[in-house]
Amino acid sequence: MARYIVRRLALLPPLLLGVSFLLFLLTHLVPADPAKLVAGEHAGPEQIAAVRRAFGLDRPLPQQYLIYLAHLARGDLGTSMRTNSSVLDDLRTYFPATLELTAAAMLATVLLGVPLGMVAAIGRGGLSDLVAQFASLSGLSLPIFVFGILTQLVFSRWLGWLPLAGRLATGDSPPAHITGLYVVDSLLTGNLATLTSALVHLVLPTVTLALASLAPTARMTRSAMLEILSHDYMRTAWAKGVAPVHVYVRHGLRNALIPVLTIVGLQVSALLGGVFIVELIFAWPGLGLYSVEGIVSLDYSAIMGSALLLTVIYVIVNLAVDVLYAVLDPRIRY
Amino acid sequence: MGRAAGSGRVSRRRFLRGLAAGGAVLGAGAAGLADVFRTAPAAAAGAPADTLIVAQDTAVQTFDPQIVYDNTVRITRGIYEPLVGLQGSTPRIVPKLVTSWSSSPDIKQWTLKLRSGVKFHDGTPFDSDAVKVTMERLIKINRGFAYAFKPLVASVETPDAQTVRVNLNAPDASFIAKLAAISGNLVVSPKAVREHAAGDDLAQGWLKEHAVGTGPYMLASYDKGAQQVVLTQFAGYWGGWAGPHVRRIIFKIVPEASTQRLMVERGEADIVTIVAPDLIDALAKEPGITISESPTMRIFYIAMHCQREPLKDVKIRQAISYAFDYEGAKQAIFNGKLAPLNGPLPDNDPAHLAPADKPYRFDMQKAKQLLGESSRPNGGFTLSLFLFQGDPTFRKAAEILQAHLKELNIGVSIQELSSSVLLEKAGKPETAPDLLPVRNYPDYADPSAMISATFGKDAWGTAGWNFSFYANDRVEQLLKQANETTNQPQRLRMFRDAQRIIVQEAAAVFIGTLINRVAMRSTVKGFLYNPLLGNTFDLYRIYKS
Repeated sequence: MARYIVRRLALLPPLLLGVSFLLFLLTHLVPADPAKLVAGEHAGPEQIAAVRRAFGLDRPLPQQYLIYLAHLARGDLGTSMRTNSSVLDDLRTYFPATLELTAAAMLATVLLGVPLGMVAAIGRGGLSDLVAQFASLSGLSLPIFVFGILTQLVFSRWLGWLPLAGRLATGDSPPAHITGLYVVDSLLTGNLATLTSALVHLVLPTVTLALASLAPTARMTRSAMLEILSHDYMRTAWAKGVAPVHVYVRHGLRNALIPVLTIVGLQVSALLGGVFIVELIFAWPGLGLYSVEGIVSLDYSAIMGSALLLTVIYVIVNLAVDVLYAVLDPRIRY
Repeated sequence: MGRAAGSGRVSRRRFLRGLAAGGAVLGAGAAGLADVFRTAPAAAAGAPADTLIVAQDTAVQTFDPQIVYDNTVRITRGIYEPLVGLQGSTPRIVPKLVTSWSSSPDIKQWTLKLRSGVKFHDGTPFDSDAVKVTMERLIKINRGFAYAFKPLVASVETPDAQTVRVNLNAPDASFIAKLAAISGNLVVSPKAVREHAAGDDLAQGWLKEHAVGTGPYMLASYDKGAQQVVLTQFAGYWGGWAGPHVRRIIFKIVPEASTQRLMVERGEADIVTIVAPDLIDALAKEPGITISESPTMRIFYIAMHCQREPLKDVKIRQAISYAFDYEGAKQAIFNGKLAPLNGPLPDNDPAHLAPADKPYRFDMQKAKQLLGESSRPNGGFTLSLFLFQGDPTFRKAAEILQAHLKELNIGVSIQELSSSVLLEKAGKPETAPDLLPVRNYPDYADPSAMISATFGKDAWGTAGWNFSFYANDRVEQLLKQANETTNQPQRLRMFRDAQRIIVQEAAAVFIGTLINRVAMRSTVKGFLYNPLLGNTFDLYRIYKS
């Protein structure tokens, strides 16, 4: 197993190399000059040339790429042209917010999607199936930005139950920085008021982000469960008089989990894609907002840094899924 | 059997007990949650009367007063002050940190007398050294507004603590107006610059996230994680704190317009910075919300490429100017909220043209007649038009023009591009579109700023903002002469003459001067908007009732 993990991780550097090359090519193919945007609207040619020199944009492209790689090898993601600070520092500032939101959405996906799928499978063809199917289908067909704005309208504007946007109420100071995750940091520092505020602020963006992933998870759980339910060992379990909860969870769900896990792992990429829109709607100061602003101003280092980070996360999540297969099913050996 | 029955009874009891317990837990949890839901947003909504919350649309890149050249000026102008300011919502220049000024007869030297008793937030006094450090810093960093000073300023002298003498490379009657610009010469504490300089960075690194100015508010905190900037009153402000003011100003970064709208509706924000006319109209109908309407110096027009066939032919440009439905556009794009524009200068500029100076009205007959006299009497060509992505006002203007040009047998192909790509293409005459709808504002309150940036020969493409690639020797001569005299009536005459030539040659379709509409809670009072840039307002004067 350890050898397998090491082997998979060893594939990461060449993968990052390929991704960085593609990204470098794509960002530099955009027919625009970021130096002009940085120098300001009415900047003269001399000012623009100065910016270009400062960020090494006056060198030939292959040389720029090699310099980037050399820095990357040392763990330096370059300097953002827009914020004029190290991209690594920027990622450290903005990524925890995204991590918090994505993790919450992942949790919601699993905690809601799996039971929804189970209920649908158990009551197949009945009312509960219909309701669960309807709920997951509407989740699949409603665009995130429409759903996000709708939830704001209903739960914030009309009902006044939940805050509109942000990670904390305006004017609140965040908890002492430990992990950058407000929920975790306020728990660690025992700051209950901030914890409540952070949790309440998480609700709407989490539900919005989880929506799109909920449907595939529920549907996969349903079909996997349906298949398992017809197996002989399930009949045996019933015949033995095992309590229904144990039949469904221990015998059913555990065996249905492998395909569900695959789908949940894939949802991570869906979540990381959706988080860009959700962060924009809910003024959630994370990687999504940072990247969108980076893309608009063609901030090469910021775009590449964010994308490389997402690549690493994706690879690690996929690896974790593969490892979990072996944990869930002892027959699987690497 | 008995056992089975017994165990069945027990399990049912257990089940019911469990159900009851579970219900109780759920109920308590729900009640607790309901409390959370009820209290948390209520605490968020409705900021105290001494705190102003502004929903800001763009993230802060830097607070550096010599670099900021974007919407962050809204914040920095509360912390730093310019040497001269603008009176209220007018473009009239009034003293600020400089109380009086005079120029040498050749207008190559300006002497500035400084206000006494002014202190920086770090306690050091404001003096001529601060002005020198600021101006030299701007020129050396060479970003943003430096373009107007670097070629112009030869040296800065400080004969005494309260006097500054600026020597120029060329006569410039608009120099004082340049000091009132939105950014650039916002005075920074020399002590802060010296103490926090790293190498030769002139403290750029430190001033990115810190600020020491003379303004009414100090930067209390900038929290990147929460995307929130907090300003608090500077007790030692030279203007004093008599009368109503807010104690604290919070800028919350909220990029999404619909979220900003909900925030001001709920009272979570006092002022929002969205600009979409439809959203503002919707907000105008809400109780408790006021829309402040102020004239701006922002002009809205469609640039026409004067250097490329077929628009090189002035007759065709004039025909297009007649084929635009000005009144229809005013209603369709701006719901009637648009001031006139009879030439390059906005309606509230002292040198603006009278309606009689602009012959173009919506007249398809006249348009057909002019096209008939042109090099392409039957039309039969297609013009390219670029749009800045995601701006409905530009799109509507383009579609109105497209519809009427079709009647002249002129096609318009519309292409929407992201601003970075668009600016790159529109920056060069070879790749620029034939038509480009643009909004433009002068960088400083002098007629020369707008005319030379929009139609000057040195301002082609992104070198200025001349997307018409227009050049006229007589116009250049008039602009040069106007900069060589301080005789204001004479200057205004020259600016009007220059504009008449540009209008006669139809370098652009002049559509209107924008009216700035800012949505805010009705409790916000003393809102004074800066006409130069549709982005700033006087934070010092604002208070809440």
